[in-house]
Amino acid sequence: MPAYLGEFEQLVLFAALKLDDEATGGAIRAAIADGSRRTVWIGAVHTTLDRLELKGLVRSRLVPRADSSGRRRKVYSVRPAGRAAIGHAYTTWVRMTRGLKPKLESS
Amino acid sequence: MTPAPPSAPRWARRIVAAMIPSRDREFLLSDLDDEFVARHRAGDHALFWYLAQAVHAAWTRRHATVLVDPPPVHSGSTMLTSLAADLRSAWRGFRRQPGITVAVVLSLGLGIGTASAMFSIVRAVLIAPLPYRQPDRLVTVWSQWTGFDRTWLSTQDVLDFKARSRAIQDIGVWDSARVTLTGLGEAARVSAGTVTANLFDVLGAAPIYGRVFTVQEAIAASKAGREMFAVVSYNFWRGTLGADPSAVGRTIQINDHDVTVLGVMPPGFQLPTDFTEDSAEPTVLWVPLYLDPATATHGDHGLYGAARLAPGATLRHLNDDLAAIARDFVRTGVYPAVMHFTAFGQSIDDDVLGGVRPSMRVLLGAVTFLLLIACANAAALLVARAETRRREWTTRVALGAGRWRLLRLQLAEGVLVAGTGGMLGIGLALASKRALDTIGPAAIPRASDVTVDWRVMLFMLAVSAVSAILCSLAPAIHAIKFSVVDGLKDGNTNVSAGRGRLRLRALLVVSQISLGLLLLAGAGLMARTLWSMRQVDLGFQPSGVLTARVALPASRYSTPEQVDAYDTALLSRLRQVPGVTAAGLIRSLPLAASIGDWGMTVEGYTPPPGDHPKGDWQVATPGALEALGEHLLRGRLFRDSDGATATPVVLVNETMAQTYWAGLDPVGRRMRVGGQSQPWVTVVGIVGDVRHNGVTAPIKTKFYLPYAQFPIATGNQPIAGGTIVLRTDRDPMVLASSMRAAAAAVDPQVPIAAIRPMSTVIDTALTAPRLTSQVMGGFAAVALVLSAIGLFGLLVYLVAQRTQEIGIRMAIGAGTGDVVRFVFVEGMRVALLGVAVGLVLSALGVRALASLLYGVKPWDPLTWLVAPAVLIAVAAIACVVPALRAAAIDPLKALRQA
Repeated sequence: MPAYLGEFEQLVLFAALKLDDEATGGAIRAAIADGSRRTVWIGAVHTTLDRLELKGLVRSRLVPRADSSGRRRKVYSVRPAGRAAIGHAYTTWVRMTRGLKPKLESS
Repeated sequence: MTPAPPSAPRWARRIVAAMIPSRDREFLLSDLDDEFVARHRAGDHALFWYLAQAVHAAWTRRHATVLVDPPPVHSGSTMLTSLAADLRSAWRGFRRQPGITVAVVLSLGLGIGTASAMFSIVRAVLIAPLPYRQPDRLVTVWSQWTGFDRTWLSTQDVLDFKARSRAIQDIGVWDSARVTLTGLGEAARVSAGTVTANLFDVLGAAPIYGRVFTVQEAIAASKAGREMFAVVSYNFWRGTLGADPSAVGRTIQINDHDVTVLGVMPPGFQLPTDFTEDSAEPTVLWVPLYLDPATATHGDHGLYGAARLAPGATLRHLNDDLAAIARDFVRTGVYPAVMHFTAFGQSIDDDVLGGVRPSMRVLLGAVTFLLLIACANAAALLVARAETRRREWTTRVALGAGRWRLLRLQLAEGVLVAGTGGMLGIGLALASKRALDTIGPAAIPRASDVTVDWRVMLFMLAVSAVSAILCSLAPAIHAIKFSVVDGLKDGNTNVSAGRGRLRLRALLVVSQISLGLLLLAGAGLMARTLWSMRQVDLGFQPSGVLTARVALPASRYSTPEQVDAYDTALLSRLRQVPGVTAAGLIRSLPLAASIGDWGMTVEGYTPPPGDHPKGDWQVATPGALEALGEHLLRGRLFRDSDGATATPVVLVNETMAQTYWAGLDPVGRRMRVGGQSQPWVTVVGIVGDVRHNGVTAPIKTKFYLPYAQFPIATGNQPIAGGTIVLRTDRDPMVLASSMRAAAAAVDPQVPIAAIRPMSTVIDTALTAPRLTSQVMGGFAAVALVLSAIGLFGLLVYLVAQRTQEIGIRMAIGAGTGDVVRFVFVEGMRVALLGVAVGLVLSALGVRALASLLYGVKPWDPLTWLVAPAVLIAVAAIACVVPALRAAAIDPLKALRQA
């Protein structure tokens, strides 16, 4: 049974999947903010990423930045377990929302 | 080259870096930076977004627990975490009792805010260094003789001092004048300093652009008889010259002559007199002055002097030298012995700031007392709060909390309220800065430099910390003394332990009232001083008078005829303005400019050996004295017929009449302005004495010459300009535009400046006492309110403490009146004790005020009766409500509570 995911965890994983090699905390934050049209705090994103990493769903690595600042960025990638969990969540969504479109749009 | 990518400002990044935990810092900053850049490009409130995200991240990354994490382990920071816990606990406590919290914060905010505002003023005025190199090596040099405590130098004095005193490395001199600036838009009148070439070097100030003039250039200008070169102030360069970097070398017109701009001085540079005498219109440009040894004399005292001390020399050496040289002057007959001529130096610091230092010190002392009162008030409230938490504390101690822990809890409360109060204080300090700007006290040097900057913030932080400690001290002592057994026993019933705390609070209220009395009495004395100053008979009628300054460019108005024609034309136009009842020109406006004296010869008067008659010299047109409302005592004032060709006439003041014509009628007698070479002038009238050099300055002998006869009577150049004075039966400022129009109609190239009613002139002259009095009054009012709140709180507490006792008393027959009396007497005992302690404190404190007082003694009986009376009356009012509340106690309920 794949791991259970909270709503925000799902959004973070969707974003991380989409972004591939560019999945930094900042990029994930922006993607969620874009998709959900709400204020998303970078601190919350990182806390969630920490949790997902502890659960073994994502992994992170430090990559030097392209500029001359000497700083590194933390880039995340989704591990197979994460892929399975978000896949499960997605199919759950799809199953649960089947046939609901007219109702959701009319309300 | 591609432009550097925008990034968050360094300061923002620093702050954020400091907030975010180190383990997250690198990549969080990296994330934030990436999006900052994107938002910055899109113009999407990047900085605001950046800071908001950072603050949130700092908070969540520190505090949010990752659910699957083991519980957070705070290694090595137990102290900090428990401090945070203490603060949180204090915060929760305060939220439960918003009333007390608001009172504590307000009272501390008032105290900290006023203290910080006062500090910002004192720092700008007294502490910030003057804009000169090594100001402690810089002195101003003055001469002094009978009737003149501190006056100007003559050209030959300066040359002699420089040549003969080894304590002087160099001495520079200057004078200030109003010049007319043309060729840069509308003609304007500005203040210009005429300065020797070495003055900039003596003061230790160098131009930021270009250079200052050389001695050779000063000589050339002196030979040419016009300014030729100018160094301008930074503000003049920014404003009038449009901050043009190529302004150096540009030509401007001063008094209709071409003048080359040689340099621009750094921002903030001013002559020493611009902080004091000339603060209303500081000099904005400086033209050369050359002291020609060939024409220098001892008879033209009109220069300000500043000297830089020679290496190793002290002010004392300089003063010894100057005194010796002055004695030599007297010995060789340069100055008559009875004149008691001498010269002295004064440190630049004393010179510029000496006048305001006493007021500032007194106000700083007063604000300290106010802060103490506020702290006492907050402490009393916190003790009351601690009272309501006895059960909580009992539980804490029972569960093993040590005394140290209780003390820290108390301190945390202090920190929290003082911190909040401090923030309130920032607002107050900023508001008072704005208030100061609107009052615009030009009479206080550097008042315009007052800012609420990081130093003030730092001060506020320090004051808040001290306040936190002070106001947690009393509750903390309480905390240390606290014992569980007592706590459990005391519960609600034990009265004796409650009495101990009552004494503590009573002590705090006594200290508030005693300090309050000191402030109240100080404010009373200052108010009486201001009142006395306003009662001084100035010798003229200031209401309904409008004044303005005018100066005629010497290039077009050099002959007496030209000047006279202008004056006549201007005055006849002004007199036609509807509402004007009198108009004239006067050389030196009372209370706006100082006036100096001129030697004279009085027919039939033999001065004591070595003495010369002299008088302050005023010059006025017909109508001027009428416009000012000076009092004619005998004879007549000037008439239009007192022209250049008529018999020269003079008016004298009462003091002069009594000094040189004692027992005689001066009208019809004659005198000479100057020596034998000058013509006789006939006294035609006596006018009342006028306070000229200051509201409280001594009255000296004074004479008045008509403008038209001044060149004949003195052999000097005509006075080209002066102050226009108009008398009207309406609001004077209404006439300002008519006045300007009249002047423009006579000669549009001659501007008039500084248009203001005479009442404003007097207000300006009284700025320092008025400000001191108002600020002290404000402090006293706040102190009064705080003391009243303190007493009120104490009595409410007392009544609550003794509800049962009162209930029993009522049950066994005490009437409402008895109960009211009981509470009232308790309150008044505290108030009277406070007043008594306050009187003792005042005996020590009032000396500090003595130098600021005028027309009232430090132990003025009225003040010392009224101030305690006011305090007692306010205390009585504060007692009424608790007393009535006590009387309304239902004995049955009170007993049931027991």
